[in-house]
Amino acid sequence: MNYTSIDGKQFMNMILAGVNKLNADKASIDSLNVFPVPDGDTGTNMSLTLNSVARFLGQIPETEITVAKVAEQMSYGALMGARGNSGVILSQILGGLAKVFTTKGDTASAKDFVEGFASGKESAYKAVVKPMEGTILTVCREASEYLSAVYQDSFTIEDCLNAYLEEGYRSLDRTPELLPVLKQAGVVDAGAKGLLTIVEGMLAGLNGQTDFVSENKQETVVENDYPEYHIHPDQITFQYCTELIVRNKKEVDVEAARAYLNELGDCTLVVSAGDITKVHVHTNNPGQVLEYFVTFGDLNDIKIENMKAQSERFGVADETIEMEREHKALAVVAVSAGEGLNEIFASLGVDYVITGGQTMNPSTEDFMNAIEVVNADAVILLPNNKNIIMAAEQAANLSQDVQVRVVASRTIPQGIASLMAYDADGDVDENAEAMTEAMQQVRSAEVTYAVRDTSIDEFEIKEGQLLGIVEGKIKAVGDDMQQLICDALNAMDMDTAELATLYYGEGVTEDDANQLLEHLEATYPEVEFELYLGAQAVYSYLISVE
Amino acid sequence: MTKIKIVTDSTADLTVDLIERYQIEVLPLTVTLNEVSYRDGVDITRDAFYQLMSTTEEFPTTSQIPPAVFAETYQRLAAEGVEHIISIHISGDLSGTYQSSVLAGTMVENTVHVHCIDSKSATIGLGPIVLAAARLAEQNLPIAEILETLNRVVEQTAVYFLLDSLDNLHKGGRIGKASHMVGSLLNLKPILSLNEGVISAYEKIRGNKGNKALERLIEILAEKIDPNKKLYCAIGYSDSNALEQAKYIQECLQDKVDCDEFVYLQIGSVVGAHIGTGAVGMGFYQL
Repeated sequence: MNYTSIDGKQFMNMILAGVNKLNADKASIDSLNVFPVPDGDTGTNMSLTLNSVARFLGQIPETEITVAKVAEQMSYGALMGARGNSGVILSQILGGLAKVFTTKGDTASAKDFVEGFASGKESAYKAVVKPMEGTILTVCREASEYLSAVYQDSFTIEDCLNAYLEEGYRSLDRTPELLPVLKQAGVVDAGAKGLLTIVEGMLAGLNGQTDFVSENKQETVVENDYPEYHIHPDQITFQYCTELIVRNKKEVDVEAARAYLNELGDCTLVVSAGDITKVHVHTNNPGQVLEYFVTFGDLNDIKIENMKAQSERFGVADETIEMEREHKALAVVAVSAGEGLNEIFASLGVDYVITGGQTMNPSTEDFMNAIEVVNADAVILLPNNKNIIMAAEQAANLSQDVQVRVVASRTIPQGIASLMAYDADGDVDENAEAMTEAMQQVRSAEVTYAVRDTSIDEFEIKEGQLLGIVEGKIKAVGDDMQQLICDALNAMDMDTAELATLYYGEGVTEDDANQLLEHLEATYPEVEFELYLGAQAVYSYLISVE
Repeated sequence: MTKIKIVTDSTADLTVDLIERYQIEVLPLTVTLNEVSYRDGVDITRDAFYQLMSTTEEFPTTSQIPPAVFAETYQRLAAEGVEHIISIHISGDLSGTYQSSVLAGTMVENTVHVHCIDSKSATIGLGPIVLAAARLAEQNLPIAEILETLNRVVEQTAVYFLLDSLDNLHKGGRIGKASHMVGSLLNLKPILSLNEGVISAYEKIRGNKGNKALERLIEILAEKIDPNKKLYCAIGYSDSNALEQAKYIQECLQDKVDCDEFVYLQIGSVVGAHIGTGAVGMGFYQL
C-alpha cells in the first residue's frame, strides 16, 4: 500500500508488528551467538526489550492513540525494558526515532521516518562509549545514511522502509568483514539481524499483517514470555500476572476487551491477530479474566503467576517482607544467578540481589526498581556480566535522585573481588574506585558446554563438549571435566597465583566438586583452593584466580 | 605545683613497667568465663586467659567498672592530695565504663576536679593516649592546656587491626559497622579500623597464603602514617602466638616512620574476649 502518512493507530500497529516479528524470529537470532554457549542471548534480550514496548503501548487509552503518544510510550517502554547490550542499543535507536515522532502530533510522514532513523543512529552511537563496528551500530548507521541519500519527495513510507532494509541487509552481510569473531564463527551480527527483523515487521505491519510464523518453530508468535518484573512485594497492587491465548471462535472486540481488563487490573495487553488473541493483565481476579475470554473461544497456554510470591523470591533472604527498608547512605545492588552465589553476595554486604538467569539478563527497569527498593542516597551497581553493563549504566543515567555508580564487573568472580574493597561507611565515588581496582586483581573463567558445532580459533567444537572460557575467550575444549579445568587454569597464570576459587553450579554434585578440588590441590600444590556452592545454572564452574 | 593524677582502665592494656614508670592508676574491668569472674589483668594472666578461651566453647562476657569503684578511687586519690584527676577510658560506644566515670565524677565534684575523657578507642589506641596524658602531666603544664592537647590526641588516634575471624566481635555485640561482614560465606580475614569509637570493616582479604592480610595491614598503616610527623604508637597482639606478627609490623615500618619508641601491648582479657586469638594491629596518633 502506498501510505505517504500514517496516524497513531497505524504507527502503533507497525511497532507491534515489529515486536511480533522479532518474537517469531528470536530463536534464529539467538543461534547467531558467536560463542556456542547457552547464555544471555541477543534475540531473547531484544525480544524482552520489545515486550516492554508492547506493554507500555498497551497502556495508552484508546482515545489517546496519536503518533506522538505512541512514540513516547515506545521510547519509555524500550528504555525501561532494555536488557543486554543489544537491548540497550535498540532502546536508544527507538528512543532516537521517538525524538522525531513525539513532535509530530497525530500523523507521521515518510520524511519523518528518514529523520527518525537518522536520529536513532545518533542516539545509539552516543550511548556507546566505544562504538564497535560490525555490529547493530554499523547497520543502523549505514541503512539510515543510505535512506537519507536516496530519499525523494515521492517516497512512500513503504519505499523508505524498503530502502532502509535493502542497505541494511547488505550492511549485515558485511559485518563479518568488520568483526573477525563473526567471520570465525561463520555468522553475521545477531543484534543487527534483530534490528532488521523489527523493521521488516514494521513494514509488514504497515500493510496490515501483525502476526508472524516463527521461522524455526511452527508456532504463532504472540506466544511469548513477558519480562519478569522484580517488583518489591509491597509495590504490587495487582497480584496475579495472568496470560492466555484465545483461539477465537467469535471475533474479540479488542477495545472492549482492553477496557474490561483495565477495570480488573493494569499492565493490560490484548493483541488480536487473525483467529488468535493474546491476553496479558495483572489482576487480583484471574478467574474473571478467564470467564470473560472463554466466551470467545478455546483458552490456551493459561499462565497465572503470583507476583508477590515471585517477587519475594527475588529479594535477598527474608528482608523482602519489610514494609520499607531503612534509609541508608550507601547500598550495593548486584546481579547474580544461583542461590549459592546470591547468598555469598548477601553475606558480603550486598543489599539487593537482582536475579538474572541465563537467558534473563535484567532490564534497566529491574535496576531502577532495585535502586528504589534499597532506599539509599547512593547506590553501587555490580552487573557481573559484560552483557549487563549497559543496562546498568542506562539505569545510572536515568536515576535522578539517587547517586548511582556502576562498577563494571564483567564476571561474577570480579563482582565478588570488588566487594573486598567495599566500605559501607565510605564515600560512593571512593568506593567505586576502590572496588574497580580490587576487581582487577582476579582473573575469571567459566566452564559450560557447547550448544552447537562450531570452530573458534584453533578449536573444533562439537555440540555438548565442555568449554573453558577464560576472560571471555575460549581457551579449553574437551570432554573430561578435570582435564578441561586444568587446561583452563593453565591459561590463567597459575605460576603467580595464590588463591583459586571455584563456585560449582547446580548441575554439579558436591562429591564431584570435592573430587575435583582434591585433584586440583594435588596438581597445583603452590596454590590455595577454595570451593563453594554457587548453584548457578548453565555454568558448571565459575573460577577465579588471584 | 598542682597535683595531677592519671586514671585509666584495664583496657588500656598497659604493661606493669609503663604503669610504674608513669604512676598511672589502673582500674580493672571484669571478664567472666565458665561462670568464673576475673579482674582484667589482675586475677588472670593474659596468656592464661587466651589459653582458657581456646579450650572452651563458652563465650566470655565482660562488665564495666561500676561507678562506686570510680568514686572510691577518686576519693582515695583526693585524700592523697590529688587536685585534678584525668580519667581516660575505653570508648563509650564499646563499654559503659566511661559513663560510670562521669557519674562518679559528679558524685565527688565537691572534693576533687575529675576530668573524664572518652578515648573513643581501646587497647592499643587508648594506651598511647594515656601515655600522652602522663607525659603532659609530668611537664607541669596548666590543666587546661593538658586537656586541650589530649583532645587533639584523641581526635588524631587511629587503630587498624587484623582478626582471625569476626565471630567473637559479633557474639559480643561489639561489631559496630562491620556487621555486614558477619556470616560471610567466604573465608575472609577482616582488617578493621577503630575510629571515632566505632569498629568498621576496613578491608577484607581472601586466602591465607603468604601472610597476605598482614602485608596488607602494614601497607595500610604505611599509607596512613605521615613520615614527616613524629609517630606515637602501640603495636598490639592478643595471644603470644601473634607476637611474631606484631614484631613484623615494626620491622617493616621502622625505617619509613619517625618513631622514638614502638610500645608493645599484649591485648588483655576484656578486649581479647571480643576479638579472639590471632589478633594483631597498631594504634597511633601524630600531632
